[in-house]
Amino acid sequence: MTCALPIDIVNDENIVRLIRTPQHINKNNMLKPSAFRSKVGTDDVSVIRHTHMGTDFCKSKAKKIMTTDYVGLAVVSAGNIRDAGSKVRDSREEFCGHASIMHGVMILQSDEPPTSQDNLLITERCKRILEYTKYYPDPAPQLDCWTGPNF
Amino acid sequence: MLSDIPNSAHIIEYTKPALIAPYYVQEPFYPNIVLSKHNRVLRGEAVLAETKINKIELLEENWDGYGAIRISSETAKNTKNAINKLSNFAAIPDITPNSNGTISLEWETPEGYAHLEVGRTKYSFYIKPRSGNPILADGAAETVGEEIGKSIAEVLFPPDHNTTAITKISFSDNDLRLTY
Repeated sequence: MTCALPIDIVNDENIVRLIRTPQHINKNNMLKPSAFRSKVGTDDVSVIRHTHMGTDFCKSKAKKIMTTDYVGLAVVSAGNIRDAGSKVRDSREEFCGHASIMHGVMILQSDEPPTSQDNLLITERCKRILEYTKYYPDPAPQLDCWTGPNF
Repeated sequence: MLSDIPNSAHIIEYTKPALIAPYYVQEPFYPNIVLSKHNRVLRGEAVLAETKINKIELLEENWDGYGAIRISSETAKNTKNAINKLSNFAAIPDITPNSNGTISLEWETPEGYAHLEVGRTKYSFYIKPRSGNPILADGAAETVGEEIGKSIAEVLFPPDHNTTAITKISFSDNDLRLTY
């Protein structure tokens, strides 16, 4: 099936990161820098092109990928991700509407932490992205559709 | 009698003859205010922390839906040991599994942010104080210990100096009254 979305992600596009507990939020229900940490073996952080796909699509993906650990959606513009120093690009090979944030700092290795220097760099980068990010806890994660505020 | 008085004692002398004998008030001993505060909560929370790590160890392959790998028993054991050693210095941290099979321990206070990531054989650690340069450390996972604990305590949980006991002494005729 072809994906009709434009390849280029413009700066005012909303990008959504699916949020899970306990990995992405702290005791005060606030986003942690690890919410934007990349996957093992890659420099990619999986996100969804919300402007094109809509909130219900994001939620249905979250329920499928994260099952019961899903707790909400984090929204940030592509321009703000770039302002923080990271890149964002379409990665429709995953599914149509999928995109990837790349920090360009390091690639996580299995079973071992990055060096303290890299860890600090990546955390500071993620914190900069968090400054621009709005977190929407899902008021009804068990439902199939989004019932929270519009964004 | 004076030789029995500890060096840190304040000698309080009274001008009324009936109470001329020297009297001393031992200052309260607070080796580390923060440590004593946190030790009270640690004993209960340490059990919860261990339970949390046991649950993390049970996570299956791809537990985050994005290809996360399992947390190895060595990593879980290293993390428990680290928490056990650090609990003498700092509060129980936020404990988070990472998709690359490590476990992160995080402390955040108004003074700054500390992150210790423990793996199968290594750890990496940094503190980012609210002001000043970050402190970085890397090493073998089983060597997490006192140095890191002291750094966390000094930077993130500085002693509160406003807790000195106030001793109020007053006379009413020949009665000496001490109130604490």
